[in-house]
Amino acid sequence: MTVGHLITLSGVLFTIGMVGVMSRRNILIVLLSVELMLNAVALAFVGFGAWRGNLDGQIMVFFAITVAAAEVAVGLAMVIALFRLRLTVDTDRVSLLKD
Amino acid sequence: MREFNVALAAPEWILSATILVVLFQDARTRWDNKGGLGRTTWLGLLLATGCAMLQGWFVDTPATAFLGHYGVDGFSIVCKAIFGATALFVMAMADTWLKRVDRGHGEFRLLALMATLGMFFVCSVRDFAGLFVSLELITVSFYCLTAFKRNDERAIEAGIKYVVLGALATAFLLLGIAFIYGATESLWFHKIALTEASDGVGGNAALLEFGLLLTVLGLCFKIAAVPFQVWTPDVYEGAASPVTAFLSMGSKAAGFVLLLKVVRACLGPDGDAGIILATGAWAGLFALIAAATMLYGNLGALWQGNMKRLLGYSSIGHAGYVLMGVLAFNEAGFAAVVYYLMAYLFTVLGVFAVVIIVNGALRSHAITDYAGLGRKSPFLALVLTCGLLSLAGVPPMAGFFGKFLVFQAVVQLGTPVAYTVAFVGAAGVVVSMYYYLCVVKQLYMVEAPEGDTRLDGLVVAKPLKAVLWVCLIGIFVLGFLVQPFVAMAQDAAEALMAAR
Amino acid sequence: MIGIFFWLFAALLTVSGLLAITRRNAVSAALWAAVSFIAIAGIFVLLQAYFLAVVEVLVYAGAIMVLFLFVIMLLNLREEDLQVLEGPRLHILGVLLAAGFLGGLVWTCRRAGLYDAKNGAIKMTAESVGETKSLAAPLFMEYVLPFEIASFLLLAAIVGAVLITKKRLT
Repeated sequence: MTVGHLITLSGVLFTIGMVGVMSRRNILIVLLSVELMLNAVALAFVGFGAWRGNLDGQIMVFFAITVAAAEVAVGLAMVIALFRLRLTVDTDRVSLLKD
Repeated sequence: MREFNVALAAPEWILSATILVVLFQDARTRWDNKGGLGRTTWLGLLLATGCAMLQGWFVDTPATAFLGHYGVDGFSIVCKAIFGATALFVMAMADTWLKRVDRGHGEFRLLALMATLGMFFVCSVRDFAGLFVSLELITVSFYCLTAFKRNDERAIEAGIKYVVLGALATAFLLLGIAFIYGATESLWFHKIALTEASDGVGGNAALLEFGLLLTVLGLCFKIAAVPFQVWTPDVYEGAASPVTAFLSMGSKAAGFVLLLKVVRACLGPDGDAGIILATGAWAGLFALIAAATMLYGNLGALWQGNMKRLLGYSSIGHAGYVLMGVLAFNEAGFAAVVYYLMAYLFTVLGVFAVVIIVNGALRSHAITDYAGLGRKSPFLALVLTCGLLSLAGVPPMAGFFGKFLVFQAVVQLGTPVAYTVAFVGAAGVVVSMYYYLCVVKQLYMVEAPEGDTRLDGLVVAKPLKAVLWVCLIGIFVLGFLVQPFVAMAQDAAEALMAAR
Repeated sequence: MIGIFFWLFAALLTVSGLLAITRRNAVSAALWAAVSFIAIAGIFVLLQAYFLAVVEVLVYAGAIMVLFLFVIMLLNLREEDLQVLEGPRLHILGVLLAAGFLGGLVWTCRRAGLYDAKNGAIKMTAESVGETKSLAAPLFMEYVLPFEIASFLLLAAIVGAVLITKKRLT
């Protein structure tokens, strides 16, 4: 196991999350995929930190988790508000705003 | 360097205290008695902005606090003045607009104050942890502000699009920071530069470049530039007008402030100690983003019938012009960016003030509904016309001088890439002239349909009238009395260059 | 020994991540995501990031996933709603983007010599042990300002989430 393998693993998870965001219509799963991406980044920070023998990366993960929690809370609140108005979580059926 | 020096962050502490006071005040007052919240907000914003500007005279700049992770210099002071003025203008617009909304006054003011707090911190942070967290403070506040009208499907739709794309951009930004950290072993701008200078990156230049690429892409979301620009028209249309005004100025300017700080921390011009040069491939990348952004924004705006969507596309176009100043990567370029933001402040907020007033009467944002405004309400039409002409870059308005400085900085580079991007920019200006003038034509040349009395006898509330006058005067002052403001922008750029 | 566990967790992480984004049912997607968070916590332990491993399980697999499941159950999606929301469909552009990103990342790591057994070796030193005490010192000294900003970030999220989900504000 080298740091390269760790970063590649984090990249693979990041790509999985990216594909999820691009391909799913269910907003809940889109938000879930974003969480996977943020977790992938956390892995990269810890990996680089371990490689460098430095703790700043772990501090940064701490902030990343805080931000992820805040974003999820707001995102899910909007999903609830949307569901109340439209009874759907399908991104394709939410398209009032377009050219 | 190694001191806490907490008092230096006084403007931020004033804002924080205001937030807490508004929070308690909101909890203790009945829903129909929220006037006190407005007064507290105004007081806090005025004090914080005044304090930030006074630091220009009374603080021996550059000064640092929090063990060197927070800094006050010429650049941060000018930027805080811009953000403070933006927040004050937006609050004046919101005062009038909130009268049409019966609930949620406290929440609106709290979120706007927290976004402003994030913008103030953005000016002063000196490490990637602070950068990330303050940027997210702005972003999360804006997610909530966008979906403020939660019973309106459009607002919720705009909010969801904003959250999903914003979170995606956050992930890219964060991964970029991870790679920069991996390359330089530090999150601190100052130390990143030192590591570079002492050849500490050596073989890790690849990591640093990949990280910087991802970070820049992540910041493109904030400034509404390609490839993260898709949200702009939808969110501009769906969000409430004061929020859109705040987004178009505050959020975008915060993105540019951070972009300047990041490129300054990681890249160096020729002859600098930094390893990675700002010329060559990086200038090419910025040129590519700038050109694509200008084309997308200006061409997209051509067939818009909705005023707010039009302003959304035009805002994408303007991000492209400002990026030209970033790509120049010298003092002239950075000064051009700062001046452009100052000019954009008066211009775009003036336009939005008119949009809010007209929308209050019309309940519509269709450009065709603006017909006859020139005869029915000459002053509003005058402000809107001056604002649009300034956006288009017609002399002697503020916008002209901003564009002039940006183009000058790029053309002086003299490289083929610079000439190409300047050419694309000039083409964009010509195209933008057309769609802005179409709106102006609607104001003066087209009569309102018979019997449409919605625009008759528009009453403009006092705070909004003040915003209109200040913006109108600002548009002309920054167009005529250029010298003191250019000097201010140059001081700011100098401080930014020295901050490395 | 660490190597074997790393590959185990890596496999678990990849498989559970893939399952999370391909499930039709949001509940099973959320549960697979929770599995992937636990796998990440396992890798954190291998890298001596003990405090973060605990936080990962508590906050991610615990709080955030519970919030997700709570919202999914609150919405109470009917079977026919789920039928419409089929599995993933991906445009060719998306595939190219994802492949390009991953390719760029691997190429960067290769250029920086991160796969090199000597250059990329992870030294397990005493300084890089992420215990509560060793993380608290920098968090409340050098990074105290981001910490304070983060508290306002959470306040903004609370105010916003309440504002958006409330039916009527009183």
